[in-house]
Amino acid sequence: MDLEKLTIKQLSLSLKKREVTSREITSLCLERILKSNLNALNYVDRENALKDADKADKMLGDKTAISPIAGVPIVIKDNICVEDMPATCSSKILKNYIPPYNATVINKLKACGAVILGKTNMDEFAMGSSNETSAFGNVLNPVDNTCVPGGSSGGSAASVGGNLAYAALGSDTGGSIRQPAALCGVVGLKPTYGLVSRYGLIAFGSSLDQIGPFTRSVYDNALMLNCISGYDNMDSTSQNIKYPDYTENLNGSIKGLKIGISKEYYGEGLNEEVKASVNKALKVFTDNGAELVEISLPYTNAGLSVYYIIACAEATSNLARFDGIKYGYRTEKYDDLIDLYVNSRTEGFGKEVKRRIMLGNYVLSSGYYDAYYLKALKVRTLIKQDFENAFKKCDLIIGPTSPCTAFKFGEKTKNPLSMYLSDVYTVTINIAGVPAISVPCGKDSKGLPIGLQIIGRPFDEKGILKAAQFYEIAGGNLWNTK
Amino acid sequence: MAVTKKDVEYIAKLSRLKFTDKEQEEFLISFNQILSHVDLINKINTDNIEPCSNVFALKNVLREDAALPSMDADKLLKNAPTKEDTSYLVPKVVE
Repeated sequence: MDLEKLTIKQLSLSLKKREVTSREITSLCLERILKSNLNALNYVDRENALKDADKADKMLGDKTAISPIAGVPIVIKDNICVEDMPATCSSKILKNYIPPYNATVINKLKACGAVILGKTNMDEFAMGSSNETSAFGNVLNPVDNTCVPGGSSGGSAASVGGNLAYAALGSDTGGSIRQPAALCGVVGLKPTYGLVSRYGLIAFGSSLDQIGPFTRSVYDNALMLNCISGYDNMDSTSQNIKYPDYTENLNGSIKGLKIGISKEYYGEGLNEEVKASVNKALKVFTDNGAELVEISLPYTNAGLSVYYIIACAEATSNLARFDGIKYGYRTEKYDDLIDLYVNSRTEGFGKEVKRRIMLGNYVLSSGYYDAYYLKALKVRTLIKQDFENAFKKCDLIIGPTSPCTAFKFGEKTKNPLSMYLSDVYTVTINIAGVPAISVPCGKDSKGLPIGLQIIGRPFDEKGILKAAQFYEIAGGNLWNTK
Repeated sequence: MAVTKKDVEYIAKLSRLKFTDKEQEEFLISFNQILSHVDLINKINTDNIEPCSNVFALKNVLREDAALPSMDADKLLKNAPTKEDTSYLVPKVVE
């Protein structure tokens, strides 16, 4: 078994038994990143990664390392603040920004002894579904380099799928963890809104954003979730609840599990091969005692509209801080303050970011606020109710993560609307705040990965992880048996 | 509600962005395309539906009103484009 292809569970065992050291593994990953053509990383911190590895090795040697992720090399999406490493959001406007603090999730990962290798490439300010809007170039799909990895967490998904790191953190506002996980053939989880602290995540859509893990197996994902979840008084949207051990009892039977099948997820626009793969996956569940229940999520089709109104409105407000004054790019051409603002922002932001800032200001502007923004907030209530009603009849909802497999570079960039349609199955999950995971469920005739999305009740990460792990094993999709 | 060139100019002012004529034209097209799609929400009946701005309705999340240490000023100023002592340098705003 090639070391770089292990799961965290397998690596952790080897590290504990001292069959391999964290320094060896970290060096291996750093080498692979250097040789990689995926352009998945914006920044690599060799020196500090090896220092962290040595620290972990000492604890593993003394047997004082408690966490299973001690000594495990991971990468972090470039919109999450790691002190003394740049946080660029793959934008020119933050090219030289170095955060003076760690995001809460980073402090938690460091306390667990994880080794942070560097920051991953992404769509600029998390706005995109293909990692084609980065100011630092496209990320390539590790399965087929002529195809997109998905977005906006393209670099994180490609790093895990391309065996450059054992796990990655991404962020998900409308599908930005789940969709690239599906397109790259890895596991990606968007937790319930409020489960993982957003302190230190450079905000895009504050009522939609969540940080979540990319891993090669469901168990690994649960391990990562154990580390990064938890109440944080630095995030006023953080949930102060009892947090379970997400790795506990993942192996139980799924007999009697009620799986909701929403007709809105199988409509027009769904690729036939993706549909066939999802149906095959559902059969694995029913062959093992689960029951399919027909449900309807009638406001699914309004999801994209609601999402783009709310996300752009929140983004335009969140990105108003990038003005060239206290940090980030400042233009050299200005005569007065307004010039400074306008030129810094015009020169610093990319096309898609500017489009969304404009759209956001439009829907919030006087005369349009009620028709667009307020209306979208009301339909948001209806979408939330869709899920509440559905979960009265079923335990989980299963469907495709993405309507298509990885597409070619440039295929959707000329028409923004066609790119937005990639998110049709993922956006309502963020709107309602519920958790969802994407797990690999086969490949299409071109060998491109297909993702299965499992959606759960708020705070039922255990439920979706259990179903996901069951399918991973029973469906023959365990990472290194494929 | 079709967006006009005047609307794009006004929104650009609000956004503190500027566009070339060609970029403005491109914006008009993609803007109108996107807006005609999102307009479908106006066909949905939302009578008696409350707007939802926060999914799990946390309210008034406050801490004790006690003075706590702030972040170190030097650390924060490290990213300043131009600075002097503990201040950010900016163009003159008031004559």
